[in-house]
Amino acid sequence: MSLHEEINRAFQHIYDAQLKIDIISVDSLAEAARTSFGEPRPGPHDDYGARETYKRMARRWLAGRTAAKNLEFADADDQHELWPDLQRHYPQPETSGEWKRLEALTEPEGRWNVAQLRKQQKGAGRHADTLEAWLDEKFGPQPAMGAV
Amino acid sequence: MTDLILYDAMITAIAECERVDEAKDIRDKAVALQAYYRQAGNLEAEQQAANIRLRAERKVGELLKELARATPAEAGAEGGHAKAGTSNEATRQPSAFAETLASTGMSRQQASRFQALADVPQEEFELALATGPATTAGIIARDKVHAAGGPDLTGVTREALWLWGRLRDFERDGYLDADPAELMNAMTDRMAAEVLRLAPLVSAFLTALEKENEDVTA
Repeated sequence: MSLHEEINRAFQHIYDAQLKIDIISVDSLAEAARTSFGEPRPGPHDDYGARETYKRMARRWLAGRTAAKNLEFADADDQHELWPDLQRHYPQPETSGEWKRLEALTEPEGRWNVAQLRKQQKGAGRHADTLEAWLDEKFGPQPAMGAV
Repeated sequence: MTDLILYDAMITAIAECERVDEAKDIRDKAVALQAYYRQAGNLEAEQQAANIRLRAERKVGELLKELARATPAEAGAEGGHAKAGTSNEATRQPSAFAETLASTGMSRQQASRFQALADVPQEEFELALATGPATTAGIIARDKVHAAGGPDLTGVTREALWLWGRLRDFERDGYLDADPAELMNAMTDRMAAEVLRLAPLVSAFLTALEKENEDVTA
């Protein structure tokens, strides 16, 4: 079992013990999982968790580098500023965390990213629709929120 | 209301700027405001601050262009930094342009971008602000593409992109070939009622969209 799977199993174990509790704290879940390995000093699980956290933060940071969201790009002179929601860099398919500059992407790499984004969007959209339908059934329908 | 008055006051202040440092000062304040409103999650105010920044940058560009055209002696007479005298003496003085960049902490790259922004036709500039979010480089890039006979991308808004993308979803996800009855039967009563309420409204919207296109192409 990988370190990743071991940590997830610890989450599951702690979560199962608290199944009936209404509110669960991410901090306490993380801390309980971390200490469950009984390592007095930072061990491989802590090390793995820290690296994964940094990677997740780095991915989020890279994904946030768009012209629309970053003042520093307001002074840049790139053609992609025509489309302010584009990122500066995109993940490359089948690499472990390598991101490529927008202008250097090949068409297949770009299309792969489109497919990934659509997959995420569809997953999130389906989840939102399901939760909304459930809420409508439970509390009665609400007019659609948000406006163009 | 107060924000609107403040916004209008800043626009007027920019228009009345006669010196580069005045316009640059407003620009720097707008950058700080933009960052503040972004942190606060106030999108509307952030966009207004961005628009003020862009107007101030355009004004800086206009004033820099006037400065660039002035001879060192003329600039000295106006700015009071170059001494009139022989042409050799004049050329030994830093140019008004270079001095202005140094005193306002502006890089040559920034100066060149602001001047390019000043070259964008007024109508195109206003349209870019109105259809925001706009950036300095974005407006310049659009202008270059447009001037080179390329597609006019100024009007591509997020709303237009959304509509284009969702209509393509119908085709991409196979809904154009789906059986409507089957889909309706797979819904709860509430969901079906919502669909029946919205369907004619969406249909009317799409009809209007088609009509618009007919009017444009007629």
